Amino acid sequence: MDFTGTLAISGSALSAERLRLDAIASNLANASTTRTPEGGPYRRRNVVFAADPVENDFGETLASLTEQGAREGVVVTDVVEDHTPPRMVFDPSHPDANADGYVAYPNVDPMTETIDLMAATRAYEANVQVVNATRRMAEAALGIGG
Amino acid sequence: MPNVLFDPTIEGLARTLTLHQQRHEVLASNLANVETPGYRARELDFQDVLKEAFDSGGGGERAEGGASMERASMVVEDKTAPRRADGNTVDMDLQMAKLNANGTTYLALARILGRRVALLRQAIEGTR
Repeated sequence: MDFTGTLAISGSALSAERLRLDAIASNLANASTTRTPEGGPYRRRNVVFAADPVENDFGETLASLTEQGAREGVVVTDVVEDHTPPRMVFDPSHPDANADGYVAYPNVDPMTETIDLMAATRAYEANVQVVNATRRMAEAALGIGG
Repeated sequence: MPNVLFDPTIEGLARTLTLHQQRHEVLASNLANVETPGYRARELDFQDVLKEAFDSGGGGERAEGGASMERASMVVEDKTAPRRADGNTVDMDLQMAKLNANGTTYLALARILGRRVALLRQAIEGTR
């Protein structure tokens, strides 16, 4: 009986989805930020997910049977900036307006962010359900013969 | 006289439990990667092996049957799932349904195994 590996897989997903939520929160919070330490408006951030093999005996056995590893958690390999052009809004009174009177606002679309937020929340909830199912199974296994 | 302590039912149930636990892990892995681009859903297909092992009966071939069960409990790519634009084939609803069905079977098996062990204990302790 090894439920710790399953919990590690689900745990990695929970942590990855939370990091994604952090990125979305940061994007929405900075939807109108025109000044950053790097200069220019805030740029939308995006997380990159990658499958991450979980190491243990069973995993190795299965990996030898199949081409890929069978049990994989998920890991955020990178947080990248979205390099689409900023949103230009005509506002000559703004201190960050350029010579033509346009202000460069972040390339954050609240609609996209909200949809991503929902997807991340659902994925998080799904993995919480998996953790609960794993816990119930482990409890049942411990109860055998008790 | 049949060997009560090495009851084929208990052995079979224990192996089946292990297979269900391993499948649970594979399904959990699929759900963890529901948003990973390019990830292909996997499935642990052991139904045929299980059927074969039980059909062959609990005779003297048990140890051999157990070995073939482990050999054949292979993880395969779930080819039935349609691929999304990002190359991922994990269908969250399908995987949740599978995970719950598998988990429920596990709970049922664990309960049966528990009863079986309780029966054994009763035989050892005697009725009071």
